[in-house]
Amino acid sequence: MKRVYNLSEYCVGCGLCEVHCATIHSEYPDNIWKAYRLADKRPMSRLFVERNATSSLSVQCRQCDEPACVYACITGAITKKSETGLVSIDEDKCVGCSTCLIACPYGLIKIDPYQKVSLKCDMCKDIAQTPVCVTRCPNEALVCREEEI
Amino acid sequence: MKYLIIGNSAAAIGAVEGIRSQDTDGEIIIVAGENFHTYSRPLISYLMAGKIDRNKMYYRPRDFYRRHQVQFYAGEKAVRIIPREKSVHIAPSNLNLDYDRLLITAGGTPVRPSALEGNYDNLLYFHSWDDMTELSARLKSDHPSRIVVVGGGLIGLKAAESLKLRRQQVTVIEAGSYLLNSVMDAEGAEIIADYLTARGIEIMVNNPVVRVEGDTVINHLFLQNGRRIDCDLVILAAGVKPNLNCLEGAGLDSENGILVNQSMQSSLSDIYAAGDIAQVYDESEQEYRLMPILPEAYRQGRTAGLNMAGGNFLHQGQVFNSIPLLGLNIASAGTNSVTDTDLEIIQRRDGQYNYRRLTLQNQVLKGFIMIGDLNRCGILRSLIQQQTDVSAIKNRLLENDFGLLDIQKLGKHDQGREGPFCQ
Repeated sequence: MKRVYNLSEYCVGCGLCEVHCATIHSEYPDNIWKAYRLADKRPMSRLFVERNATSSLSVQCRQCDEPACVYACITGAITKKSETGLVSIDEDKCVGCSTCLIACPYGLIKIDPYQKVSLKCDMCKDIAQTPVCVTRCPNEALVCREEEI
Repeated sequence: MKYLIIGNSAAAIGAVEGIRSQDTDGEIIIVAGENFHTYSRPLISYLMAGKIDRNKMYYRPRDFYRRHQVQFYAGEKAVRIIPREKSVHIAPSNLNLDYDRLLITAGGTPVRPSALEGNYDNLLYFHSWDDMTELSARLKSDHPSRIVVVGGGLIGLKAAESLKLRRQQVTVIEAGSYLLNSVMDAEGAEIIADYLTARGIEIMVNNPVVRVEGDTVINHLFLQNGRRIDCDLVILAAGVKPNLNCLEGAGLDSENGILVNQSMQSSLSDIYAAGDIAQVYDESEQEYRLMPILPEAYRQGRTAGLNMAGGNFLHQGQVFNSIPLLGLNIASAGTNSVTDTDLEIIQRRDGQYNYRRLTLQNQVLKGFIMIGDLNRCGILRSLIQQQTDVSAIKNRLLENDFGLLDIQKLGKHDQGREGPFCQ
């Protein structure tokens, strides 16, 4: 299974990962300007960028082996696929109760303010071979590793 | 190995998934009191409000039992457990089912306050899908009913919300001194009460029902302060108590619920319990507690299932809740009641409906309450669970940009195997 890690000494907190993540999940996946300016709603990234005085971090769903969000979900919308190890949210089934936001030990799930459903990293499944936050990082501060399930 | 599970909600499903992760061959039997495919109880308020349709009520896909090779007895209740024979008698079929390992997840039934005893045609529960269907059928959008919800806890408020969305006239009556008093503090509860009142739900706290008037239907309720409330329907949501009836003569140790250790095992080694019926040893509180919330039920059931199949897992109980009410997010985790004097409370309120309150003891986070923005709150839950000393980052805990960079400053805190930093 795939997991993205952060090389914090290379991350400068530029936030391009956020921009590309939001764009590729929008109505205009190949045009940043259109995604932000023409879509009906502001595009939402599925990762978090943290910055403080001395360091920064870009971080997305950890695809946990023991996924607390899956165990806590009240609808059954969140599942972990046994074949790929991917933890995914069925946005059609999610009711936006936010129980998973409390469950996630890394705080890596957010609520889409427009659709009122939970959003998290989907590893760019069905979109790209390698997550765009990794391929578009100008400093190669994010790496995608293949790990055993 | 033959596994018998009484019940069909989150704890039972957790057990099936736990068992099957260890044992693909063993026989699994579920005895379900309700005639439904496994569904999520908290979703009844969403269904009543019209936010979801019937197809989204199910907690697992429709092929769940088949894929997990579960034999399913629907509409059957366990009436007697006979540990000596390792069997359970079920009715109405009058069958005796044998087991090697038994899991009791029989749940709870709504509590009825003494002033509301008796049979009334307009006194309804809000606990099961059937309850919701019956209530829903009595609502008319062109002619709103005057509905009194007795109980201002999680279920009562979700019922009130969905009734309001169905354009009914709703009054919530809470006997305790504030709303959600099992998970909230007085200030947070007041924020919630203000928000709901501004959206047309009438809230009355600190005012139990003392008497009702009516023969076959309740026409009026009288509160402790003497006030009379006229009503068309009364919804009971004053909490649930474990269904211990089937345990008679079984010899299981119980208090308010079935007492289980952290392996989810009862006083009899082949019998396990999980969910609303289980009184689980809570390490952080050092006592046996009922924890009747869905995420706990699933995790308890899963641990029970893993152990029934030969595993050796310990359950670490933790209560946490999230309920959005008419668009306001409300979350809590851990312990927030101020009973000890050595507790430290830090809180922040921005604007009318944004509130964060943390409870600490000896520099360890014990609980949080959040209203409004819930961003990154899972990190705080994890800190509570791991009982980490947070003194190094205490001034950061309430900041909007609090995150994993702060956690990095806590050397001892386990970021987990899947931590985001490259090793």
